Amino acid sequence: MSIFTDHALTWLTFIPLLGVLINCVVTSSFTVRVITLVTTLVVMVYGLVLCVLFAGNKAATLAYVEHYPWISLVNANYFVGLDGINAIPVVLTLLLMPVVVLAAWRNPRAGRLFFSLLLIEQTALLGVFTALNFYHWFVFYELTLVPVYFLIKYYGGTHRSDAAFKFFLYTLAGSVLLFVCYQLLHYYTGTLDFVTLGGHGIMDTIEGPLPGQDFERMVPSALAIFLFWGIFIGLAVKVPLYPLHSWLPDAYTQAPPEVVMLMTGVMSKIGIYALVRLLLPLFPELNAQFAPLVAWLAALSIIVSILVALQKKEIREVFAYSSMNHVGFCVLAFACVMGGAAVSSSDKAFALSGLFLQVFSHGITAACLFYFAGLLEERGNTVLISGFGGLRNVAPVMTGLFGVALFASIGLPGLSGFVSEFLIIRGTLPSYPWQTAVSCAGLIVTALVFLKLMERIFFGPVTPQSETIHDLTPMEKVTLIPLIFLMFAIGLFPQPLVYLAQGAIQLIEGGVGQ
Amino acid sequence: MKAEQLVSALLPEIWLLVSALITLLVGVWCETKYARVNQICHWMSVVGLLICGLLVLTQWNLPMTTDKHQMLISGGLSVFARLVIVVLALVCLLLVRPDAERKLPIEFYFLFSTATLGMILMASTSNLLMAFVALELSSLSLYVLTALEHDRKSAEGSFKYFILGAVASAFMLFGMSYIYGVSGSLSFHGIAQGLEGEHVSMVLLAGMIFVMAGFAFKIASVPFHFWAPDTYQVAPLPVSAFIASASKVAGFILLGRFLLEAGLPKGVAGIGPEGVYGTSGWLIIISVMAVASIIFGNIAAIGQKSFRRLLAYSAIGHAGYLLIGLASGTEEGFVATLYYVTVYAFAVIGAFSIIACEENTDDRIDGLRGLMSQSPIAAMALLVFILSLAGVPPLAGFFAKFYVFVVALHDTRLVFLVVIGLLGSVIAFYYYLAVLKWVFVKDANTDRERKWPLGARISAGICLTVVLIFGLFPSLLLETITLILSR
Amino acid sequence: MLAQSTIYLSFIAALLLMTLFRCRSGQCARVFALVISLVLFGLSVWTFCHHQSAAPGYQIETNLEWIPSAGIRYIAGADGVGIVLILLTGIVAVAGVLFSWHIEERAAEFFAFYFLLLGGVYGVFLSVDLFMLFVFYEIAIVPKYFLIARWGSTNREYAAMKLALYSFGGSALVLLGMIALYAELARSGVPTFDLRTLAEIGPNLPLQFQFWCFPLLFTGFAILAGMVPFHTWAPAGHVAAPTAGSMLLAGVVMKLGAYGCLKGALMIMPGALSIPLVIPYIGLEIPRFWFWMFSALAATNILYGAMAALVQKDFKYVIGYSSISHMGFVLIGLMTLNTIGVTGAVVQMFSHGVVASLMFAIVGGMIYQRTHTRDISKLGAFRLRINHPGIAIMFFIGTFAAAGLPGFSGFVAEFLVVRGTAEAFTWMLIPVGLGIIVTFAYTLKFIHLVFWGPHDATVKAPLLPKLKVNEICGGVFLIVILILFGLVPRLLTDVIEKDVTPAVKVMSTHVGGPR
Repeated sequence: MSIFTDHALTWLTFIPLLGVLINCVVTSSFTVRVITLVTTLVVMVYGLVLCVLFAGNKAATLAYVEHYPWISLVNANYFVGLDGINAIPVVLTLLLMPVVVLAAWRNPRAGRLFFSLLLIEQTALLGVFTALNFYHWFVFYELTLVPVYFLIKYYGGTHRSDAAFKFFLYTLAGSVLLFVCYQLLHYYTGTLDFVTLGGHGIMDTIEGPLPGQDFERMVPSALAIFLFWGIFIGLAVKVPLYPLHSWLPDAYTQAPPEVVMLMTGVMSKIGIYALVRLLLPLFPELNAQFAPLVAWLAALSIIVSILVALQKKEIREVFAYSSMNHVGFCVLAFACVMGGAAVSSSDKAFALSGLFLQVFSHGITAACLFYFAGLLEERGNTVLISGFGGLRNVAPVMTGLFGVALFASIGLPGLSGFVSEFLIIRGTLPSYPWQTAVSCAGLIVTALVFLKLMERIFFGPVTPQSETIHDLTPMEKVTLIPLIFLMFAIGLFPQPLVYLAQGAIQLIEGGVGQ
Repeated sequence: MKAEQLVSALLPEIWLLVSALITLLVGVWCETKYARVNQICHWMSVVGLLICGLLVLTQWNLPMTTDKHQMLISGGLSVFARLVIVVLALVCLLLVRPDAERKLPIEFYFLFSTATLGMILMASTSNLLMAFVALELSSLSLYVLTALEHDRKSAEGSFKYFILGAVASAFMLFGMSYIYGVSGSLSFHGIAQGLEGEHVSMVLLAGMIFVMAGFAFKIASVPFHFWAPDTYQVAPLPVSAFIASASKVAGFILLGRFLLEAGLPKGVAGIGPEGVYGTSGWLIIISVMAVASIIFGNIAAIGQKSFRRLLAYSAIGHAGYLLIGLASGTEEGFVATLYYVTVYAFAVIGAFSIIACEENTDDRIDGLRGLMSQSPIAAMALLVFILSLAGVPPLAGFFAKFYVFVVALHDTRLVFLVVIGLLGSVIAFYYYLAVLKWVFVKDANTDRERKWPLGARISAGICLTVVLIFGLFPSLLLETITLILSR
Repeated sequence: MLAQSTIYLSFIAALLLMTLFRCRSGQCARVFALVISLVLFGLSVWTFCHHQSAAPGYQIETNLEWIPSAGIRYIAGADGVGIVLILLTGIVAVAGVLFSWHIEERAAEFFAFYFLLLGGVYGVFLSVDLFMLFVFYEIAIVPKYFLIARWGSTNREYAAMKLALYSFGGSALVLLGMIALYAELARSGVPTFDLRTLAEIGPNLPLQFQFWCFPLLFTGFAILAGMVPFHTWAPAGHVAAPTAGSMLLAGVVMKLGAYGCLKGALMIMPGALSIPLVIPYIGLEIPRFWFWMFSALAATNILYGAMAALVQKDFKYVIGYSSISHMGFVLIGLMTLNTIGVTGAVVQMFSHGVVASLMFAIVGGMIYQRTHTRDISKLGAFRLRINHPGIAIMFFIGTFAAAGLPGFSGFVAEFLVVRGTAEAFTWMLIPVGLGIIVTFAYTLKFIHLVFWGPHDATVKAPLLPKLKVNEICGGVFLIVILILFGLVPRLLTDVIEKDVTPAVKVMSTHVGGPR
């Protein structure tokens, strides 16, 4: 290939670090902003071009591969590549990052450290999504925690310390579990490459040896069950799934709004992505066995989270729990994909494309919602929903755009949320009718929650807090336009994303169906 | 042994006696006439000892010969033993400061030479009677030497030394008579032959124990150790050093010879049937003494405030380690003990040479405070000596302990001795480090340089060389001893 | 010869400092020490690079008779494990000098003891003869006492004495085991201390003998590695020691113990791990007694160390206990007896050496020397995060590296050790995993308390001196090392693996069976 695509993903991952280096030497905070924005834009353009090239070249299921031994002793490799599964999360990261930088533009406290941490976070996120070896993946997975930890710790709200601590330690505990499980897995399989683990259909026959492996090294079935749940729980903390979510409301309410955009937009997708990448290929038989249970867990998470959201008084809390509700749908779709022979492959295809669309669309809408929440809190000087009212009168443009985002989140047809949720429900309903029914009930409550919120904030008399609110500045409009545009674009033309997701379907069908 | 052989074998002893007498005569003659009489006598003694050492050296290659009663043994181990004792005596003599304000009386030099003579004879006999005479000769000289400071404390220490020594001598003589009664001989070989296959009766056991009492006194082992702390503390410094070093060497060489030649019937090689005279009998006595010495010496040393008392208690502990080597009852064990006692003697003289810095009347350990900043060379030398005593590699004291333990572990019955020994050495680290703490950690009260006399410097240098060379290359000494024993 | 020259260069430097430089100014001694330490570092790197492509086994430089009558030889050389630790010693040596720049009081003497200690450490890692190893091992103990007792802080004399006595106690056990081993070998006609021969014939010694001799050697060495319950010297010693003292102590001296455990105990008498302890009369039989005993103790180290660190009030004690916890990873890695685990243990030795030096440099050097308090509840008042962002950033990097964040060498070690543990004894993953979590918990806790700690906003934070050049250099140097070996762990693992693999093969055949 050309110079342009040689080591493409490595460049993509580490260009933000170059931005950090430049940030270290410049002085004015404006220059820092510009450099950060330029860096993220460069990365975005570069990455999108790569993705388009990748999509055009359909023959290659795994593109831009780089594979170097890292620690040969444990088969840890530096292994990156782009395929159908990680294309959408990568695109999401690429698109959302400049928006986050723009959103942080008006934050007076954000300086060199803030933007450098953002860029480091981008490197970590891109590393997580492009890694195809567990060691490589884990390095970046843990690295994602650190910049966010410090972003919360430095720039968060009043209870930021507790929130940061909880966020870090919960996720870490989950990842330690994951780590331990993968170590055991490596002992039995001798590989850490996701491609090998998936491609071989690793645990095809749980009791049987792998090709080329010793006969002694069979995963005992009890251990396989432990590994399955260990990995699942480890990732469920990250997603998060009820009842492992208690870090989430704290983190989402205490972190600065720009960081929450990143957390809910991209970081929460790591959990979903990892479920597909790390867990799905491992134990086909166990997958089928436990799929209904996972679907129930997802449904439970969906309904409980939104019922909690109904009770909450603060804007960000409501959004936090509704965010949890939305990722719950991803897990529901995931359960369907796990379903094995019990689920027809067309249903699986529906669910899987729904999953990826949901990942993308929720990334966009949730980021947008938290941006608005941040604006309102800042201008109205309150975090309570009850503090606002009559926003329609004082800030009409903001109300309009906010409304679009809320409707996209509810799943109004024509907006992004609709397509994905439709696809998921279409996929899961035939196999898991009860779980889907519960989830649909959750969907209705979501609408209730958001409509109530709209009524409260947009209409009614103008409260004293709302009086101080002024409408969007041009900078903020610039920030929002891409997001709103994407909401409509995906709602109306989901084909490009579905096209990308097709690759994933082929990959997974290939792996799971063996 | 013919007469001329006897004379040539005894030449060093004869010369030593003659030179001692000349020194005495010159001293008495000039005492009132010259102010510098002390220096004259001092250098005469030094030269006398030097010549004595050279005379010993001329016998280096002689094979071991002896007379019928083993009264005098020339060649072999005796040469080595004499040489070591003479060198130790020389080094101790260098610690004397004849130009000091408080001079030692003239008879010091005479008594010092006769004590040396006694020790040399102890080290070159294999006959109990001769051993007793030699032992008394050295002991009597040392009693007087201890009291030469002419003050109350000195007299007290000397008196203790004397009383205990007298009691021990009496015991020994008594024990000798029993052994003589049972075996019919006083020479070591004769005893061994007489007792071969003999069961240990009450009389024999009593004899063995009583004889051991005499040795225990000489080597400052429990239970005849009580004199050591007081004597070490109050005797003139060179005398303390002398008692701690040469006297111990002589005692151990005699004891080792006695055990090896008389204690074990020839041919049994140390492993006799249960209850029969041989290792099994001696093993118990010596093991008990060793264990008691190690435990008592090391524990008692912990609380000491006086440096010399600390050295005395540690000397009791070291006696225990030395006994471990003998307890194995083999020639290799004797080699280990000889190596140990030689390097120990030099290390302990070295330690005494450091406190010879000045008139250190109440030799408290905290008197060493800040030595590092006042006299770094002395401090570093003391570090080496103390660490050698503590048994830290690569100094000679470490290899000595190591070798003693190696030898002891050849015999599984002695494992407990090694365990106790190691335990004791951990305790010993504590008080040795506590000494070094004052030297290196604490700051001095004053900045004045410590006066460190030339003689002490030379003797410290000699000791330092020995401790370092034999520590880094222990095989030099070890092979020499093995070679000599084989002659 | 070049590798050995590290030993003798250190000793000569010590002697020169003790004599020639004594009356000169501190600056003179410091510069001299820095030059020497840089040379040592250069030599270490040089030997390490030359070892890279070498064949398995020891690279012997010198092999001479030393004490022929006792079968003791002077054999200097290093294998993959030793060479990594030699590199570590070189690194810590330079950093230690940089962080001792402030010492004015009898600086020459300080550095003299410092180099004496280094010489001993180098000697241990270059010994291929157990007796020789022991000699250097003891040489390394004595200077520690003086470094702490003379230049230390809180309770220094007590801590120094405690440390020295524990060390000597440990070495007494080692000596006993060593002599017993020698006597046993002499009985079978091969009186030798050569580690290569010992590793060959040692495992075939009578099992009953191994059973009681092994724990002597292992425990003796493990005391210096900070194994619970013989660890109490470590926190006290680390706290009392001067900055460079703690750096050396945690950085390399604890590694001496772990190195001894591997070379002096596990590789010689692995058979001891295979046999049961039979308690007479009751008829109770505990299978693989020493194996489970020491594995359990190692796991306890990890968890107990981390939990103890969590509740400390003195900042240096936190680092002290975290060292205990990290050494637990080394010990459990060794006990896995498989290539990955043992390699992980050695990587952890290296990594902990660097990271512990860094942490002690930051906590004892950068922070304590400015604030003059180590009470965590009082550090918040200095608002270090705002007034000293440099310290804060270095601390964050260091503490996360210590906790095992990926990207730093500590993670590589943790990864390998956990992987080895998964293979050797799956159940041990529970305490190990919990240990990792608790480690992060205290890391976060102390980041918060120290840098976001409670302070009175109305009172102006006391003005503290800025970071000095030597401190920045030292800190950055160590951080670069951590990242370098974190990103390119192959540099370490390849060289370790080549020598661990054959050794492990021997060990596991003698321990045998599924665990």
